[in-house]
Amino acid sequence: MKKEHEITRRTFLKGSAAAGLLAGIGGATLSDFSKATARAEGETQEFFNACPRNCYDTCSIITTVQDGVIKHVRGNPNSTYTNGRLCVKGYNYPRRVYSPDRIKYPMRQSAKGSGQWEQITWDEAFTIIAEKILEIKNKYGNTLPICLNKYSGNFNVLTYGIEGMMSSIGHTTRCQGTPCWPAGIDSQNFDMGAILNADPESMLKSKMIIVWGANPAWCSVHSMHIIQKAKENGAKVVFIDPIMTASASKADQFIEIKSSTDGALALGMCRYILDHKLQDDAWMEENSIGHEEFVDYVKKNITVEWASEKTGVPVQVIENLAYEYATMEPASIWIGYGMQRHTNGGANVRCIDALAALCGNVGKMGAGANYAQLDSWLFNYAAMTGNGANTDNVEADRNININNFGADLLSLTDPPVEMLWVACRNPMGQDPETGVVRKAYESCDLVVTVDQFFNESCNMSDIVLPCCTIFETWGLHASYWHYWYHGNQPAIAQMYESKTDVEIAMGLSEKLNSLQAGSCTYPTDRTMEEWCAMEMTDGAKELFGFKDWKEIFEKGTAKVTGYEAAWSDGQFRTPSGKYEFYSEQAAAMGNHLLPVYREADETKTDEYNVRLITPHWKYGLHSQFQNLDWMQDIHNEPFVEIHPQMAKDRGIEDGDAVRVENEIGYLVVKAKLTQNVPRDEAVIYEAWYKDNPFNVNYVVKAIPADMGVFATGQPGVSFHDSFVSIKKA
Amino acid sequence: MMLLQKYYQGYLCKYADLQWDRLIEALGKEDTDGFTTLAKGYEALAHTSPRNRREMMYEFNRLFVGPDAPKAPPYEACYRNPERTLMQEETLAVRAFYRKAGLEIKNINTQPDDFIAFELEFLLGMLEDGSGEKKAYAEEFLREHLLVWTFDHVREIRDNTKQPVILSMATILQGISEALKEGLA
Repeated sequence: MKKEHEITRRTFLKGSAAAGLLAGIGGATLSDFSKATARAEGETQEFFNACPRNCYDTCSIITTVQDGVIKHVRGNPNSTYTNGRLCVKGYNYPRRVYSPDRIKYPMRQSAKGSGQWEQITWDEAFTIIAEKILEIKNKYGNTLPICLNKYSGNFNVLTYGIEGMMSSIGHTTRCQGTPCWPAGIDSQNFDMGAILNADPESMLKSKMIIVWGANPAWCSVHSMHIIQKAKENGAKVVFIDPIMTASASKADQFIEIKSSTDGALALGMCRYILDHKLQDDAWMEENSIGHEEFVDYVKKNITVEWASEKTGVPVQVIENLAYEYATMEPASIWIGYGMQRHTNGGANVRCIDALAALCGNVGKMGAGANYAQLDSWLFNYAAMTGNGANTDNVEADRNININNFGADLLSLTDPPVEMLWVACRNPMGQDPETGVVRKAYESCDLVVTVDQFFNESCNMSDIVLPCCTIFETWGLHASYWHYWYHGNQPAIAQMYESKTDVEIAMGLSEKLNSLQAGSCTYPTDRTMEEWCAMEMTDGAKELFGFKDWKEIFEKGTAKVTGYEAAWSDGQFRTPSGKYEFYSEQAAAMGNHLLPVYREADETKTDEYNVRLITPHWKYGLHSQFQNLDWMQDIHNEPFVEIHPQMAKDRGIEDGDAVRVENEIGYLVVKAKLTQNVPRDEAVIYEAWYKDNPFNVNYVVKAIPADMGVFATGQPGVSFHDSFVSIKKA
Repeated sequence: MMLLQKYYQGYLCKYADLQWDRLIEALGKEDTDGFTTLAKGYEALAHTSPRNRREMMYEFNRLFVGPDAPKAPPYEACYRNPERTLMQEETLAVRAFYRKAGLEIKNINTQPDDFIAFELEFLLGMLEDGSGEKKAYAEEFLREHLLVWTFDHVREIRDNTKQPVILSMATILQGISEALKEGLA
């Protein structure tokens, strides 16, 4: 009896004055509960999802759900590319969804960077944003002072809803271009008329595979599986890289090349091939233009000895490589993105393309100069399409360079940018020249960021909005490498108050129109499923044999066929319809007509004389994944990799804190000594760690690459052309 | 207990000065005889300034809500799951408990079932009902869930803040937890 009495008395406040006051706020006791529903114990369901990250592999995922909760994820075996496997990052997804760190509610910060956050309702958020938009429109007669910075954090086709929303308001300022791969895209556009790689699964048919500036063991693990299998089949596998990567360590041969000299190696190989008449004249005659001029250029300007001097690769190695490449047909070259992140990156890719074409290693099964592809992106971009209100006083959107975002935004005055919307991006973490980016953020009255986890960009925002994970929404996904096309369906309910980009667009549109009728044309009456249904093209349905788009969920994925060998029909998309060694388009964009060697413009000084390479990290993708606790458990500390010789010269020992510095900034990071990196270069992997201010971009300059403008509107970034000093801290 | 439930639901973040004054006055009349920690908590709260109360929200969000990783997440799983991952067996055990009592949280799966405000609300519901069966549930729930983690949660709050209102509320949570524990013994 006593026990019962005690517990009752200790409920406290019951029937008291304080309870009377408190009972009035919020709902009555148990108002957050309802009667339990009957459920079949232990019953599980499976759903198809797709990893939407900026990654070669774009995996189809099977998600097992019990009682509305994700139990585990695995690769979809219906895709022969992934064969039922994910990567270390993909297997972390349940943690991503169920991390207590997720952004849960719309929040407003009292001042950027203050850390003083107030929870607000979606309606309040939409009101603040819509009022700002209308104020801008009223003040300037247009919405150019609104800048959108969005890119690759999520490639679900429905994330383009935010572009659609912006276009439905009027003309805005857009961050144009792409940081990752534009120089190479231009090269292949000049040479072949498009980026179009062979199905990577066709590498199984190759006799020789050269992986040039890519690290699939970290960044495309399922391709590594194919390469290993090809090796078992007898193919020779060669990796060319300045760094002895995890992938290179698995190769038959690793060729260490001086950074940014890849074009010289390709041209040196061309010279050997021509000297020994190993070229495919018949293929060039039938399929190309400008080959005589190219052959002439090589014969007059290039020697193997010159190439050896440029690249640091011994003559004998170049000759053997050239001989094998020209005779082990078919031979496949995988051109990675790393090697085009230089001021001569585009020119280098053109030289490698030319090497492949010279040997007729294009258009054949198991061959190719394989860079990337967008042919499988069979989407209608319905969510992206906005038909503006047409009530402003300007004719077009205003584009700024996404790769020089901070400086470009700050330079705008007529009109200036007042409001910034950031989605699927973390510019404060990932853009070069972080200090300048910070100033750009500070210059805006209202910065809105949509994200799943708090990062430096959120810290510099006024409003942060929570977005859904892929497990909480519909979607369609394609890869820029393999040819599988995935469906994505909601596996679980949208947690907390998270919304999809399209839902945010619809909510904002509704608010804008309630404040000023006709101010936004973005449709507000569709469900996410209806939006998704609009995205699959008729061509895709026909190709897959679908009557209805939802048939994609029978297997979760379907393959876009016809690309087992790229360019097998010989129909190049260039103006001449042929492979263009001689490209008028390249010349029109200020490049050389021919794939000639171009020296890199080095910013090296006496003080800052160590090239800094900032490649992708195995436990992260840009600023994603490394922040998750499961990753932090494996690895939680950034480091700079330097050669033992460089360390010795500077009195640095393994584990010492070192200061990495140049004209724009510095960082202090732990030294890791390894012979895997060049003697005169340093390597820091770009990543965002939890509870760690580390950001390599404080010392990475926004130096433009030589190409990118033709196909993507803006040049790429020479991420690997920054030079630093390395000293013991 | 209702005070804490409303607090964790965020209702006190935007409480007006006058509302606070009235609440503190009413709390002063509560019978805390024999519960020293709880009495200390009420007293500490009464000694906070109106400005402390107005500024409490930012610290509340930093510790419990976000958008940055909350320093003292108010979910049972964060103190019992070795990886602090939500919606795993620890959260689902709470869900199973609610179901045993014929209840589940509304909009299930949109919020973790083991959010402290839900756990407190469930407990209040069981105690207010007054029936022997519900009281037994309350005792079992306290033993298996709420009291297993509230002390760790209080410690985590204390380790991460100096904000007077938040600290007072942590003391109140500790005081109530101690009293309930004593009542169970």
